[in-house]
Amino acid sequence: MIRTEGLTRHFDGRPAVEGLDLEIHEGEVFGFLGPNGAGKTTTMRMLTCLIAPTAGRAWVNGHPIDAEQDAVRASVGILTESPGLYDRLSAERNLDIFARLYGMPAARRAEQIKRYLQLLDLWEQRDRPVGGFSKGMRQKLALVRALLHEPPVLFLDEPTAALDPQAAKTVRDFVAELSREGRTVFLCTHNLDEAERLCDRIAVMRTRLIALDTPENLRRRLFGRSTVVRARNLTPEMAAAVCALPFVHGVEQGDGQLTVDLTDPDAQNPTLVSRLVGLGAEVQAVTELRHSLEDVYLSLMEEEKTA
Amino acid sequence: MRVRTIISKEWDEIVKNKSVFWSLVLLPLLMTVISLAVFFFMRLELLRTGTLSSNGDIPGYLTMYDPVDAIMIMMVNQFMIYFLIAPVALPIYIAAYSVIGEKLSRSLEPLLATPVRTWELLLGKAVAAVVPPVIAGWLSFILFVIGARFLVSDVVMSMILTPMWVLSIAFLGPLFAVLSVLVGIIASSRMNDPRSAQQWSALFLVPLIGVGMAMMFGVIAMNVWTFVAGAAIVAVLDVVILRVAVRLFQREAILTRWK
Repeated sequence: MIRTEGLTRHFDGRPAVEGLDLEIHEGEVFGFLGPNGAGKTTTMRMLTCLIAPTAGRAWVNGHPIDAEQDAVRASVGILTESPGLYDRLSAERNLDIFARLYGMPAARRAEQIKRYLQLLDLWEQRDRPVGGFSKGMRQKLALVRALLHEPPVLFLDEPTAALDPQAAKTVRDFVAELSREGRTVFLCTHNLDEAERLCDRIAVMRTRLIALDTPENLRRRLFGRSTVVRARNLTPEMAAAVCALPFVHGVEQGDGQLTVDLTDPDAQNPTLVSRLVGLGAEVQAVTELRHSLEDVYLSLMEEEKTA
Repeated sequence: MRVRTIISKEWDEIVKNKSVFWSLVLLPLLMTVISLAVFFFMRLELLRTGTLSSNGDIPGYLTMYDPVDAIMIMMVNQFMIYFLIAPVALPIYIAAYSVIGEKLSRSLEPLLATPVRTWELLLGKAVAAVVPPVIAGWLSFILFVIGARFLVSDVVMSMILTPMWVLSIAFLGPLFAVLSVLVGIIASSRMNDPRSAQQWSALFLVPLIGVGMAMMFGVIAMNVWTFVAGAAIVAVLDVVILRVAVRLFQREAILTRWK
């Protein structure tokens, strides 16, 4: 659905995006993470034909971004970092302007505007000037504007930034719904929790691509997999015995629990637990240690800095 | 279709912005009222004293007229310059804000992400900025003609309705207005401060006032041919400047360099 080959953009000779290779599939929610100035927005702008690449190529929905700009624009919806609405105009008029610019016929315009405003609880507010809307309402309206022409690809730049938790959840749930409908979502965000909840895969950028995988695979690649066993009467001898098991890479004991590094917890946990029980441990809980995406992100940034 | 959408969007915004809307409507009406008031008081003075006095000598090109008519014709020429220039001057400020305004309200990026082409965007903005002041200018001129009919002599009236002025106000003014608006839009798309854009756009009025003065003092002898030639030149300039505006509209620079 989206493919880039060596996509590069320089500003005054300084690289903003360098040699980006991506392949994003249909129906995927793709998270694009990175610190400020990492090239996220620049990449999004290149892929939506707002700015041209300095080098490299890219295709969106099968259309090359350099040769078929109209087709690319028609097949993408974009939610910019700031909603960018016409404050003096009503919600309905704001949407109608954009629906017209996308060449939608009158009946379809009316139908789509009603459908999406109802879906996001804005229908009753349709005649109000958007200057009086709350941040959450403005963001929802901008999201509707991006969706009116039913684009198969959506670019969302910080869709929940500066929203209160409830508004952010509404927007997040809506994005999840869009992906269930089969749309490809390209999500630029600083919100790692949001990325973890929504994204099938994530790319971490710092001018160039640092990592690209599913959140789970990145976690495993960076931190391996660990099982935490909480039990009464744990002893150092029990920890040593667990460490002696052939599939265990390391054991850490503390605070009434053992943290055991494993390669395949699903297969190895039963053996581990029966060994501990055999040694007299009263096992209370067995859980997999999950590093947060924030740990993954910070670790990648640290690696990149060292490199 | 997309040009029409841009035009109607701009008009909606003008109508909803009361200060801009009333400045477009009230200023031409006010000038009409002032012009007619001047004639009214001149007529009153004439009835009271039987003559009119002028601060300076009557210019040579008016010596053929009765002194009272000559003074009134001098006033007519000044008012006509206003009716010619008002539709050019008023939209400059709208045009100068047109692109910068979108950038400041952050609506430019979503707008440019649609399939709208640069020429459609700029033409839509230009037409939207030109039409209201031109119509307001025409209406105020019609009101002025109707009012003047009761206040000035037939000789003075014939000077108001000379083909030179009527054609200029009907056609040349709007053509100049398109030009001025395009200059304003160029300024708006090249500068990131609305005040600078407005100042630079206003400079465009200086040569235009010069043309108006030249017409008034007979330096440019206006007849059908000079009018047609002048109108044709301005129309061609409109097209050329639109193309220049499209070329100078740097989407990338506007999106990435303006803060």
